[in-house]
Amino acid sequence: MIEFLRSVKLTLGILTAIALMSVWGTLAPHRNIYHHPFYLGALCLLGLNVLLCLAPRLKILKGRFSLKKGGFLLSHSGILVILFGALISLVFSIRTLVWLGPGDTVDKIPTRGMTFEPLGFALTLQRFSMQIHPTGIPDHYVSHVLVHGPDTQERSVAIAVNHPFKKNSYRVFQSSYRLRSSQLVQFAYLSPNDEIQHIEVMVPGEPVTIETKECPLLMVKGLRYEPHFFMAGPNEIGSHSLQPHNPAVQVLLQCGEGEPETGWLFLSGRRFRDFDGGLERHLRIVMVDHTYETGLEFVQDPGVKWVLVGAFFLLTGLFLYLISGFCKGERNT
Amino acid sequence: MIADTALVNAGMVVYVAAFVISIWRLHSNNLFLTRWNVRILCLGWLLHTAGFFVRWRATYLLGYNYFPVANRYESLVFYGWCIALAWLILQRWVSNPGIAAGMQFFAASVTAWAGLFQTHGRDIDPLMPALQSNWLLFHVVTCFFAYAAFTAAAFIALHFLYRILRNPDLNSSETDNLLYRCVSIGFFMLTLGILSGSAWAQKAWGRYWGWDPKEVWSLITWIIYALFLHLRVARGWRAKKLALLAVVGFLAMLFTFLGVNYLPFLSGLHSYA
Repeated sequence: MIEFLRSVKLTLGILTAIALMSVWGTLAPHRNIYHHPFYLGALCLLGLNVLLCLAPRLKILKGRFSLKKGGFLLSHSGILVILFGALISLVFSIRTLVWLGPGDTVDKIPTRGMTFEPLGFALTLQRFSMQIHPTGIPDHYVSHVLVHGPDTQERSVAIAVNHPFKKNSYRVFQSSYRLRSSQLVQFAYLSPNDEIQHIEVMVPGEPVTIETKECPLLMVKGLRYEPHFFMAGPNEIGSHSLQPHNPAVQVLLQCGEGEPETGWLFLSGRRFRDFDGGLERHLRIVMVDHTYETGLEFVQDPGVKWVLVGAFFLLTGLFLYLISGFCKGERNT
Repeated sequence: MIADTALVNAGMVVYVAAFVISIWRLHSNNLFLTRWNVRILCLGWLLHTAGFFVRWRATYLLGYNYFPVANRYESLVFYGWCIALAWLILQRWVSNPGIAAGMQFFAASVTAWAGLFQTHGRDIDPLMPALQSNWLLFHVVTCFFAYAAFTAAAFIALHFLYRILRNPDLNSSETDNLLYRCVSIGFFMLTLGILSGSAWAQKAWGRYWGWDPKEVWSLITWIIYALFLHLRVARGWRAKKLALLAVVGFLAMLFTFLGVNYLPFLSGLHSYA
């Protein structure tokens, strides 16, 4: 039995099974294959297989060391440690998304058992700032928070994407942002120096008329509202991206009896390219109570350091194995 | 940027010229043609490199400061560049005109696809916040070096399969050695690419693995090449079977790179690439 569990035949079988299940997982994304007992069982069996395969070979450390042996041991140990780290992450990690408006404070977070875990410190959102490119892509978004608490020296920190904040065993990530829910989209006609001259509430499908310099009777009809506009391609406009973007309204514009035009108006940034009549020149969308909430993700994952160590072992081992193979190849030639 | 696109397209045209010479070499393989084949490919690669650096510099001039591999157009241009570089390195050991023709045609095709059909992404736009990281350079470069090594392995394998169909008694030791070397380098680079991507994801989102379709297909590709290495060492598989597996791995790699992005139901965190 032990012989079978540590055989290469089993390794090949498990790797093939994991690959096939992974293919199925991507083709049927609505089914969570990756947390299915079969998938997790295959990963555990792979870990056991590698462990049993490594155990008898550890004695070679007492013998003559070679790059190949060292590489083999390190790379396979690396896989074992990565799998162990992944198991630790699966069982013990805590991950919670918290929404904060300006002035809001968080000092405890909900955990898996529907209980609240005290953080040991508090974060108060002082300001959320963002800059959006005219194409609708955010250039950056940053949460400026005050860190405080009974045993914490008060200080301000900025949390941005790729720049998490670490405190105690928690890391806080800039995950997302959103507009406060009770907001109303309005069309606004601006003067050349960006002062609002005319404003109308947008009701989807209901046309409103606005008097502008370019057109005395401009009919504006809101067709579609995207709170997190993104553009992945010419025909790929939507809001399913994990990266929230700029709120936008697709509108139909018609001056008198002229040709109607459709295009997008943004909350921030300039107009979109698909208008060509110039009717939208000073038209914008605005929102009542234009306030953003920031989405901060609190993560506690004790498995990360194991995965990091495993990755180092794996890479070092593969490098040694690669070198040994090439040296052998050179000797052969 | 017109200058960078023009240089890359010029490089592509020169790759086509190198391909034509390789075809010529199939019928008349002399030293003169071999030398000129390499020189012309070198010229194409230098033009391609110049185009790439012009674009890189432009990102700095526009204030966006990034290594230009952040969208599909830029990725295809860089992949074409890596394939040409892979052949320039490989030709020191393999001078076979059949493999040369295949690699040069593929480098030209990938670059042509970027230059002629991939119109979206040619403008230099700012990066989304998650991509604004030094990990972008390391992660993408290691992945594409791996892709180039796997592409070389696939063309060596295809050439060998073609030859063995005509001559079943063909000596396979040289092909076996070459395949092993290409796959070993690619496997190491892919491992580095996957792990650097994990480190980046950990820094950006706090999760080193998110079961994103691109991540999963990278894992599938990694497993196929891990099977390749294990079957060679432990089960004694040699050139013919390994060649077939190298082609399967290459198809999985292509799906990881392109298929995942072109199929809308598979889009995820890497949908921009």
